[in-house]
Amino acid sequence: MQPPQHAHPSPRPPSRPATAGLLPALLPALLLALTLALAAPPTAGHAADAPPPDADDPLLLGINYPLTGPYSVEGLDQIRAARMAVDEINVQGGILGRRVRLMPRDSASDTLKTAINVRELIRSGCSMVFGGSSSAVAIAAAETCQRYGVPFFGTLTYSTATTLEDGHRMSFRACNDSHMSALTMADWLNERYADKRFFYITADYTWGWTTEESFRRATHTEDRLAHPAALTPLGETDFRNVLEQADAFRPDVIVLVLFGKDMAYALRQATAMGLKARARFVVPNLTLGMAERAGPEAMQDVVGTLPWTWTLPYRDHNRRGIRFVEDFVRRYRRYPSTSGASAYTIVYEYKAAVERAHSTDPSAVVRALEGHTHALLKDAQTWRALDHQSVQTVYMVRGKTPAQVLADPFRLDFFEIVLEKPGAQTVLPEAEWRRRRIAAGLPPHLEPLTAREAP
Amino acid sequence: MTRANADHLALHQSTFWRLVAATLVMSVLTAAGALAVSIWVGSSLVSGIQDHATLVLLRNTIDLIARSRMSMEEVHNMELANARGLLDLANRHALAELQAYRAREISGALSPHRAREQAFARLSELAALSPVPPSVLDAGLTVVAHARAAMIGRNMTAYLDREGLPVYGELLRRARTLDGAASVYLATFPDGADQDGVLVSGLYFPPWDLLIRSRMSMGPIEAALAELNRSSFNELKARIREIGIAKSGYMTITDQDCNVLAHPNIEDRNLRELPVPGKNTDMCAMIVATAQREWGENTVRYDWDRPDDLGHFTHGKIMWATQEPTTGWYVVATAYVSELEAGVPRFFRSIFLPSLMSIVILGGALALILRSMLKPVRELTATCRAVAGGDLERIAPEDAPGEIGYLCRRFNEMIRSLRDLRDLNARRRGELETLNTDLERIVRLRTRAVERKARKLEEMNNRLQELDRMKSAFLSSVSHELRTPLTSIMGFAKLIAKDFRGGFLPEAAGAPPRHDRRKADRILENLHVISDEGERLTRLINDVLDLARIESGRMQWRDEEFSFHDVAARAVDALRVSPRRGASVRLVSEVPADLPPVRADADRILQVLVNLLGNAVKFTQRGSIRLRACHRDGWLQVEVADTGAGIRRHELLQVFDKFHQALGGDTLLQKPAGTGLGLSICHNILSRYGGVIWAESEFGRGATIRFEMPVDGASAVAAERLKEDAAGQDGPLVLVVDDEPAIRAFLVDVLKDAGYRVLTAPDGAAALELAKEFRPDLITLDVLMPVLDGRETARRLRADPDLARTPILVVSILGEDEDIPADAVVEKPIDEETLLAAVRRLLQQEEDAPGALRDRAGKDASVELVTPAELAQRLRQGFDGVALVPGNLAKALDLKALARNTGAIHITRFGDDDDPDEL
Repeated sequence: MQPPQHAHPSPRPPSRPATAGLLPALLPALLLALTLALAAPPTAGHAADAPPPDADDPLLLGINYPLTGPYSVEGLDQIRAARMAVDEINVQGGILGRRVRLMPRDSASDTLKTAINVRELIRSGCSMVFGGSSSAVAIAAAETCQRYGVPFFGTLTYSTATTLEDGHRMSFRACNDSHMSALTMADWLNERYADKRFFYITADYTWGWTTEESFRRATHTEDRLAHPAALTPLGETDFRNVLEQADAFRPDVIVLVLFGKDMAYALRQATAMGLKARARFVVPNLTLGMAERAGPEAMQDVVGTLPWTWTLPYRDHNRRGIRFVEDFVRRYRRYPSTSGASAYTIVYEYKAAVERAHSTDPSAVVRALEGHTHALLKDAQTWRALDHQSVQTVYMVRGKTPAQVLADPFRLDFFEIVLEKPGAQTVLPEAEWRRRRIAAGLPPHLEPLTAREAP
Repeated sequence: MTRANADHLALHQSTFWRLVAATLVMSVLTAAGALAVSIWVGSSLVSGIQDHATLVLLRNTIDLIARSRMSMEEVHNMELANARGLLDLANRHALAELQAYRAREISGALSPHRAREQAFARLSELAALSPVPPSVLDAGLTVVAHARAAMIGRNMTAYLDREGLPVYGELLRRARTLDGAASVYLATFPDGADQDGVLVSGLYFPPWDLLIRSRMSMGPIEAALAELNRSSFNELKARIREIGIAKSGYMTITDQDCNVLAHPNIEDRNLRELPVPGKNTDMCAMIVATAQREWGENTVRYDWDRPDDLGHFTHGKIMWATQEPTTGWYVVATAYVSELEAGVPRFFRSIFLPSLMSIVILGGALALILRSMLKPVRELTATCRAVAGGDLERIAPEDAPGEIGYLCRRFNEMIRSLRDLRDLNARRRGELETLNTDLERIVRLRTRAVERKARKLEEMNNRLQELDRMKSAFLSSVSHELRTPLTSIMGFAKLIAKDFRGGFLPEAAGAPPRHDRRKADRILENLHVISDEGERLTRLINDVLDLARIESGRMQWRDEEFSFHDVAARAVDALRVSPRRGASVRLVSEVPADLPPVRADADRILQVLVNLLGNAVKFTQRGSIRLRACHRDGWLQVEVADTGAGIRRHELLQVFDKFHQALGGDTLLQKPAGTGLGLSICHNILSRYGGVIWAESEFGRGATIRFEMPVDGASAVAAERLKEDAAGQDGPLVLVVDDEPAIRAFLVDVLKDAGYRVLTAPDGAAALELAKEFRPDLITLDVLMPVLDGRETARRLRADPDLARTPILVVSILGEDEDIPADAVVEKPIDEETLLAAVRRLLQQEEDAPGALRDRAGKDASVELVTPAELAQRLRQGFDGVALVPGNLAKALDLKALARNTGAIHITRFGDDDDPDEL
């Protein structure tokens, strides 16, 4: 893996002919100048290339993301990556010749705000809504979108419910679910911690519940007495009581089913309390933002999963992925996180689907997406038609040493990829999906496509 | 050393100055290069730094906007949470009241109906007092408790919000599922005052299947928030206006539709209305296009039509633009290019001046180093020049470092070696001079001795030649003188015999007495003896005379073409006529008649044949004598074979010597039958025609004499003619020896014109033969010739006592050669005058060599120098006095005659080889 380019863009030579009419004796200098000038990137001529997108009738994409609240770490990355994707698409001529415009709304990871936001976005004429770092938000947004017949893409939503009990025909999940995360780590953990004592600290909402459940099943720790759990509310900042409770139990493994700032606070506090020396910390769903908040010392040796990290394109020599990382770095002076990559992929996938469907008609777009396989920033991934889960490779990572992290120019090189599992091996089997849908009193399929309801 | 060479070797331009010039040129070029590079680097560096700084500024501005946006959102969220909390509190309060009445109902204190009535009345009272009045709806959504009594009993089922949802139906549905938690809903309505929406919160009271709900209009909250946002946004605008770029650059913020949000002086304007001069676009489109480019490329240059300080309208501006992600606002930084590039000259100076200085210092240092490096070279050059001029005492300095020092040391070693060589040479030369002097002395002494001996030998030789001449002359004259009396004797003997026979014998013819008869016969016999012996003596004398004639060159030759067959027949006939007494010898001639005619003197050839046949007859008692002849390759081959006594082996060569007679066993006792000159005469005759004669014999078995001669004898005849010339004409004889016919012809022409007689030979061997035969006065000799070269020819000529004194003139392209014992050398190409002068000098024939006369009668006794011609005339006219006669003239004058005529003359010959002898 090679480090990305962090260098400041090459200085552009001045356009006025400073070297004109000089003696032939200066030929070597001129040649040098010419070489350098050619090596420098061209400065102009981009905007004129693409046909001017229709500015009066822009294609609106609603993004409901956590600018504030416990998951704001992930939210900024989403909006940044989405902006980049939209700018790139506009430079290329937009979608079906229409200029694309983002409509951002702060979800604050709150379902009421999400409901208000999504209704507003749809009312404003958004053709698609995406974003969110909380499964609750995703579910709320998906529900609203389903009602109004607008495609929704969950950016970061790991709860199995998102595509199971709360799955909708208009709703797609770009990331993996907690079932896939749990299965990705299962072998590794079972090999090392079979018959060991697990302790769960779980966020008290749908993602926390389903993730803990998936994890217990994968690690055979369903016995809640032998492997107890402590629930914490979303947005909690003080985990000392819970951690003391956990420490008193003397577990071998502490599973932090926490996300965003919550996880960062819990991990920092656990590190400060010296728990990390006594137990292995597992965080089922990791992101770069979370790791950054927690800090390199707390992150060291913590294992978890993620569907994408910025070092992946370099490892796989994925040129498109490398370009994304480097453009992002140039623009925002930091690496994109999973959240950003997910938002970026969604914008491009929506564009591709609309172009395949030759229309922004939601039903056509959904049909164009179902069962479609694509590869943008990583290896191939497929929108499973059954539940709209993106079946993809999931990577198990381990926190690098602080020295390794700090050696990076942005101090963001947190993850060492331990292993990877292809999506087909970890995704919830279709039969199981149907069984659970029926158990939840739902039909063993998503809704049929219906005409759009006017909000 | 010639002048041109000296110029060539002179040091026109020193290496030092050349290198200084080269360094200067290179410095100027490098400085010019540095100038160009520093201009380019300076401007690109400044531009790059400015670019970077502005992009950082842009990024910071974005962060500022995002931060203030986030704080606004946070305030909004807090207000919403407060509102929700307030509503929930009111609802919970109402719930508590309901629970109290429910408890009374359970305890039986109140009937269910009463309990409800009292509870609803109590809640309606309390609601009227509450700032957030809760109300209660039953399952059919009919209001059962409300702050305003008018509302009680109203059904709320048809209360729909803007999306068409039944607000309370929805609220109740959710509240029922939430198990005691608040169900919150923001309802917006199609019309009415609550445009900002109404926040409704519901709690479900399961015992009585009631929905407690409270509501709050968002209008006042939103209004308060809007005020807060405005002030916050104004603060942001102020911060952004504070940002300056370069001297007068600034930051602009617009919303997504290009409405200006923050600008130093534009308010409430849309940038779409602002066209960009020189570009077919408006400011908004340009900003949007620029902002959506990749980071780092999101910049554009354009001309602004505001005049600058100098009134120029095309005032270049640069713009960086980007979109703030959270708000979608465009953040634009603009500045004048000229202001941004104000730092370029400073940068340029900071790059160029140090590099110029280092070039100058480097150049100077290089010149100094070169100077010090070249100093020993300069000194070495001076030493070289001195050594070339012959000054070996000068030494190059040896303290120079590195290769030059090494060179100097080696050069000095060379000088020392030269010095040693010079000294050795001087010593050797001294020794050689001493040796030379000694050698010269020795050579002088030896030469003198050799000269003395040579002179003696020469005198002796001259005397011998003189004697030989005198002998031949004597023989010639004596033979002549002898013949006269001998003729008389024979004539008288014959006359007596005739008279005796005619006069005396007829008298006694009748009956001469016997003794008279015998007496008469004896007298006749004796007279025959006298006659025969006389004839023999005559032959003898003739032979001697012939030999003398041939040898002295006075023989008269009559060459003509004749048939050898006829001559041979005549010779055989002559011998047959007088066969020897008592001999039974057969004379056989086998000469074919078809032999080609021979060109020679027929009589002499006849003489040769008669001599040979005569000898054979003389020495052969019995057997045969054969004469054979044949012609082969231009040569006549003749042999005379007999079966006589033969010749002893040691005599085979001697038989051709003069006066030699074969004295073989049988012939010893016999009277010699000849003069002993026959074969010698034959040899001489045949030699004249270039022929040879030799004898073959086996003693006792006969002998064979063979001779060969050329059939036409052309060369011999030519030579003879020459010889006749030599005999007949004046002028020295010159033998020209050269292998090149053209040169031969040229030399012959030149020499003949000058009055010389000329012989030619194509090579050394021919030359030697001709020289021996003709004794030329001078030989011109080429050096490079076939068969025998000039060098060897000259050596042999010198070795031959007869020819040793003949002057040799070498005519060659080789010039002087000490190996050739030549008297003079003329180089080819031949200059006529030089050649003739050399010839004359060698023949001591200088025309202007004057004679000198001192008249005896002259009183002043002065010496008179006269030309040779005048001298000869004066002498002939009877000069009286002392005359000095040049050698060549001496030969021309008949000195003897002069001596006879004028007894008083005193003649001194000079210039000749002989010692001057007075006559």
